[in-house]
Amino acid sequence: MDCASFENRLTELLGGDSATDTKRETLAELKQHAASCPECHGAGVLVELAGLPPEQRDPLDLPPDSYWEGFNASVATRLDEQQASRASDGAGRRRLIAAASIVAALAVGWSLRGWIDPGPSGARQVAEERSTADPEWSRLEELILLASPEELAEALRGLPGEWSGVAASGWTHGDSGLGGDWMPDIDDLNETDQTDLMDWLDRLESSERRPTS
Amino acid sequence: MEAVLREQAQAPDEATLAARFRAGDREAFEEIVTLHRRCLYGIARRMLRRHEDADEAAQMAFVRAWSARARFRGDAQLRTWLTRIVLNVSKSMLSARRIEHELPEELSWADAAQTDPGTRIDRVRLRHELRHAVAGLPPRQREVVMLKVYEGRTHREVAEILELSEGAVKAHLHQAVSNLRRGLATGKQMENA
Repeated sequence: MDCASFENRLTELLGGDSATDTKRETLAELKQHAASCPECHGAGVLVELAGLPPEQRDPLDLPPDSYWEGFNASVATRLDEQQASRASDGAGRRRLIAAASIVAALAVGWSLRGWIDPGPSGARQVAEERSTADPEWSRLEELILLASPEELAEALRGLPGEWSGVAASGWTHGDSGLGGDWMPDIDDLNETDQTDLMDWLDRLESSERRPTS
Repeated sequence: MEAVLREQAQAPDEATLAARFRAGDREAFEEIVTLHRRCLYGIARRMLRRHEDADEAAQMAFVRAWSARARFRGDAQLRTWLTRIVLNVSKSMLSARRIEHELPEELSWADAAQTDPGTRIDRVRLRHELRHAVAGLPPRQREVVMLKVYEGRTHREVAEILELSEGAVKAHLHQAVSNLRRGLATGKQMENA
């Protein structure tokens, strides 16, 4: 047996692809090769591993039964807390709208600064219009005005998978012009999308740039 | 073990349970948590090593699953879908909190029950050596090794969890074995030097 065959057959054994009736024979051949080949000697531990059923290969130290009784209760509590925080006085919803708006603004800002107009005037106009309507938009202004096209693009790349595509395509609703209503409709989002978006906003805020002058 | 068997024996038909879950039935969700909590915790524990982190990841995964229940279309098994979620949560925790792959050397219950000291030491050594080697693999190969070698999942299930083709799963496993063989050979040579 050469080293390439050793690897192939070891992979089959570890992957559970070997026929049961030839398994013992294969194991013996692998052990023999590992014992005599300096390149494969260290892989003898893998051969030993392959000889065990999966559940015995690296058994986990699972917590005792008493732990599991509390586990379900902890999950239920988390779920209740999450639902309560979303329902309480609309704060969660407002924050979500802000997050969704930032995504849209980043997409537009990126387009304006990176593709259409290298100057910040268009982005500024958008940011200023929106900042009067919602204090959360001051963050947008800062993001758009201070970020380079590369940074805006980077921020978009940091979005959860599905959102990147949405933002990159402009994500416009209704009139897609700058003066129109391009605020995304968050009622279209399911809870996972909402959670992803909120997580992304948290990360964005924690790394947000502040004006230096 | 008895508790696991008891929980599985009481398990309702998966399709019915999944349909109730998708419809927002909290009792169905509770049953799903009971059925799959050990599995999810186990995956998280293999990824994150510390009990506290695994506990957090498994709970978060269930909360996420509830939030995303409308996305579960039933074309995969619940266990496959839940495994994908807990794997993603664990990966996020690893990157966000910079949790290192810790390699505790504590004895497991199975080791502690082994009365022959020689066998016990050999098993601990084997496990320790392999954990180090596996921890050094590229992330995708590490995931395939965890699911295929340690969890004993089928190629198809691993492919669904990792959103790869079955051929890609096999290729990653082969590459992982190749890397482990080379890494372990280097380790032995250094030991002997």
